[in-house]
Amino acid sequence: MFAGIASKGDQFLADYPNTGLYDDDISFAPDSSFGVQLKTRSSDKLEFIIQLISHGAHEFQNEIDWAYINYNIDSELSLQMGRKRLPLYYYSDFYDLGFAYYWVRPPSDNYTWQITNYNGLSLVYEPELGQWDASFNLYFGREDDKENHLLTFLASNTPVNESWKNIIGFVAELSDDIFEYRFTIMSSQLNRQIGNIVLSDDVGQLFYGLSVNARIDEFTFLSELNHYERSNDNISVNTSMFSFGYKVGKTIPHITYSSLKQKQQAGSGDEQHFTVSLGARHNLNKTTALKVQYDKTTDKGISTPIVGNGKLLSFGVDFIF
Amino acid sequence: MLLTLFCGSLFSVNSLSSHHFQAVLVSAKSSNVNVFDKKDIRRLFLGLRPIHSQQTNIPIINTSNRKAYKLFLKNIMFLTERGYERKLIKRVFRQGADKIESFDSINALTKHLKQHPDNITFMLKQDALSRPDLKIIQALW
Repeated sequence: MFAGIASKGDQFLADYPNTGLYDDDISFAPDSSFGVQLKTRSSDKLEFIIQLISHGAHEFQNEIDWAYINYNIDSELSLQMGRKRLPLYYYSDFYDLGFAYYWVRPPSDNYTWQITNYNGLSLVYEPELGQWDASFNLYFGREDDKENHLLTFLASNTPVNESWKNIIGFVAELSDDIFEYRFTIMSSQLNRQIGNIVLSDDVGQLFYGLSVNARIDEFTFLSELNHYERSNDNISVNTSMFSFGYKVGKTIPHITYSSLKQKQQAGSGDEQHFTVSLGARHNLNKTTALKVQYDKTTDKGISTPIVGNGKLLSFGVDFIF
Repeated sequence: MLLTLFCGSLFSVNSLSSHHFQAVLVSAKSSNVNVFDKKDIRRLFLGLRPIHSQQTNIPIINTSNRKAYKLFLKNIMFLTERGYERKLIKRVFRQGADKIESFDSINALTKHLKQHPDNITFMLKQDALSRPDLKIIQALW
């Protein structure tokens, strides 16, 4: 449960995928979410997993984040079929689980994607590599989203239908106690319709990114570099994030810089914004964390501004049970 | 010379710690659990399935003795407490793995193991030897 108030600018878009939008009055809905994860096992090899979530930004309507069957092929390999989170970015899988990171929400300039889930197949390989933990995930699928929250908001509430077809992606992760490396790549065909106008029809898109994290004693360093391109539409976007935290007892103060820059090309936009965030997380106990964060966003887009410059103070509590 | 003496001193402290905190893997006396490969113990306590063993036992984290818990993380998991907790949270909420139950009372843990013969945990050898309801599966270090 989080509250926030935009102290400069009429609006502050804190959460792109869920369209968590603050204004200059204190509000509790934009960053608040409630979720429950259920699992049932029919045998040693077969499980059904479901995750329901309700976002304040969506008036707390229940949504299905996960609904998939997991089949353990052997000790290292499993096949999943159904609805899952689209694992584009480092925090995509658990974006809504604030307890798992120290910010109020993952840096918004990085997490600007409009499709967050997919229906399809996912193959996960988790081999034994000594003191290293490794995971390789190959996935295929599709997502059709009617009246997409983010795009409809950006199109001044004209309904936007978005489909990503023939999604094929791969994620590789390697970690030990100190370092964490993650590589991600995904391609698909995009279809977009604004009102009755078909804007994109099976346009190829490519996304890839790299994350490197390190935790040495009390010191934390997090980073993420991503690239997105849609060649036929002359769209090429780079996003980046760098964050430093230092644990003092049960509290982790942190500072983060995140940015999105669209390469200017003929017929494309000029979306460009960056944010500096200062915050702290205090672990009350093993299941509860208090957070406070101050964000200052600079929006440099001229033909493609998002909501302009803004400052936001937000605070709240994350708990798991 | 100074460097040699310093290293020698560190080695002695570590040896003393491990010697004084010998730990074992245990289950209920009535269980049929057999010896695990140590790599499989690590996988089980990360919420992964074992590779070298066909046994599918449920791990229980024992935090009743903080020193023993930290030595288990160091010697078996090769992780710090912070790193271990981070990996567990990620597995539960990223991959839908089962949450691993944790006990900070050795009496409550012993009672739980008696009621769940397929569950396993780690504890100091001296604690396991003083509890007739438990079976030592193997020495950990």
